Amino acid sequence: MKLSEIMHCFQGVTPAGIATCGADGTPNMAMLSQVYYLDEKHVALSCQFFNKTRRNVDQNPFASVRLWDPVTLQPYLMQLRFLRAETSGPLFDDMAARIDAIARATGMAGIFRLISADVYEVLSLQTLSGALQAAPDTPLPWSPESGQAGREELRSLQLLSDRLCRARTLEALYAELLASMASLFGASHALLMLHEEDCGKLIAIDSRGYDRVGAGAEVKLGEGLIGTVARTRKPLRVGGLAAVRRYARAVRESASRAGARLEVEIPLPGLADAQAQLALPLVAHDRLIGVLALESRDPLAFEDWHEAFLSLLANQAALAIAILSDREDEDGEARVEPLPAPLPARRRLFTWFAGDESVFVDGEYLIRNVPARILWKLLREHAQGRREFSNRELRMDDSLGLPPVKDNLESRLILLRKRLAERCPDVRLVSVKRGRFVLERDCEIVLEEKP
Amino acid sequence: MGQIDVAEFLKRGLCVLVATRDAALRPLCVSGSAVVITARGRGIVFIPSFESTPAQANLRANGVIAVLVEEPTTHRGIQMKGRCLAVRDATVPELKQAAEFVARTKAELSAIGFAPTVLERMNFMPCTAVEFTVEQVFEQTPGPGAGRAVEARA
Repeated sequence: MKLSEIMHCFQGVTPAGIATCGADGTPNMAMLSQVYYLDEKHVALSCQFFNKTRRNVDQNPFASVRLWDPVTLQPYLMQLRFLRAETSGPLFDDMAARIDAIARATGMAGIFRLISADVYEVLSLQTLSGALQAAPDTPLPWSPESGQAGREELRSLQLLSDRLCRARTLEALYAELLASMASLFGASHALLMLHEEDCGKLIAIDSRGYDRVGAGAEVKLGEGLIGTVARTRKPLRVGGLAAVRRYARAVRESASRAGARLEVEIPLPGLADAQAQLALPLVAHDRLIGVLALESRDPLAFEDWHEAFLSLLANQAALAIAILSDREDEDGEARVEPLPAPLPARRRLFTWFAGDESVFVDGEYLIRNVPARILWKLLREHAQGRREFSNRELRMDDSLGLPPVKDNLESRLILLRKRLAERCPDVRLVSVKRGRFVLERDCEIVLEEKP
Repeated sequence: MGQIDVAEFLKRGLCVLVATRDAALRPLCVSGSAVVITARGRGIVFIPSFESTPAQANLRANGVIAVLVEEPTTHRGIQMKGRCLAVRDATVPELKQAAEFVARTKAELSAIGFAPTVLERMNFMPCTAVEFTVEQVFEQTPGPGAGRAVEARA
């Protein structure tokens, strides 16, 4: 039997057991949070603590590992031989990034960390027949072995590729990308974050499937799953999150009893009950554009094949974003005057806090930094009678602090639109042609400035 | 050294794994149906018959055994190490004890999301009884304290 036939067992949904034996002949039994598939002849185990298992295999390389299928609980037995412990290189970096993301998400940074990626040769693999009573075969979720399913996925990739190529604006591109994640790939929860190079953060620009769009939410590079993907520019997939959280909680409690200093727990972004996450870096021309993060309540929603397949898509999306972001604004002075706004029946109070460069609306946080400076400029000039604005004039305005190249202006305006739609739908920025927009309002706008 | 009441811990819903080894020091991992403490420093681990044969051979040859019990919802666990005293068929009262242990295990697995139809298919019976001495007990909850020896309270 081939190792690749039991890929579900390598998702970390169910833990594994490992038996080893010291040079003195004393056996030892321990649990493992995850076994990593490397190829048909090799697996890797994470060494997070210099424990008895590791000391034993240094003396006697043989190990016996028991895995369970997370759907059927069918057990499998692998006989292994320890080959080497890697403390650097691609395998170590991959495993370390995954563990680091989990550690940061559970407040375990520094304690829950990879010491080495221990590589084992698989000497044998055996299905433990007799462990389960016979039952009618339950169809498993979609598998890449299914030719028909594979063709459908390829067709989906082609469809999305067409949609991305046809998008004329960044806003349409983001919408197509996120909507397609659900309609074509069954990923019901998707979040798109863009890289703000000037502040070293990722900013949420749009999402699908969540209660709130969450536009404007920030993640620092290196923080959690999304931040780790941004820092390493490598996709990261975590399955069986319920099991991961239970394991991390056990380590956390154990470490706490041992007197370790722990960070405040940072919840993983998005679904509170997510069972699987896949985050893909969006990289174009060697620049980090952003991160596309997918979540599912199905612990086996994302497999190796999905990771490779969706990475192709992410690359294409990144290029499309880069191209549309760099596109010159349309020239021309033709102005399209908006319909006059209905006379306002209500007031919205916008407050500019100069100290942290943020805008609040009716006392609630709206936005900060560059998009806040843009909004404040628009609101002030609107108060003097202007309605229509151009991207070009924003780019020329030094007071806004836009970087001279790669300014992400269009994405910042999209973010601003999303935040207004969520927090103050009475005020809207409506595109009238590429590079031009008008400020519409259904309310009286009152402005105040505070230090 | 910390202390643990092993008999009390074994009243929880626990998964059981057993390590033995052969003459060439090659380890073998098998599942356990249940573990009970019969007297101070003495226990019985029940190994499902479908996979007990190679473990029995190891135990008859050299006697060394490690038994890990872990609570799936919390990952709290301990490991007992000792020597095999006897390998035999389980008695009817022991089978009843083992069945109660298995019911608690399945309730724990149910609590972490496994469906009843999946759990019903798991074969823990019939099983072989392995009497063993509990010579050492180790903390096995994952983390920096894992592997630390603890004192077994009566």
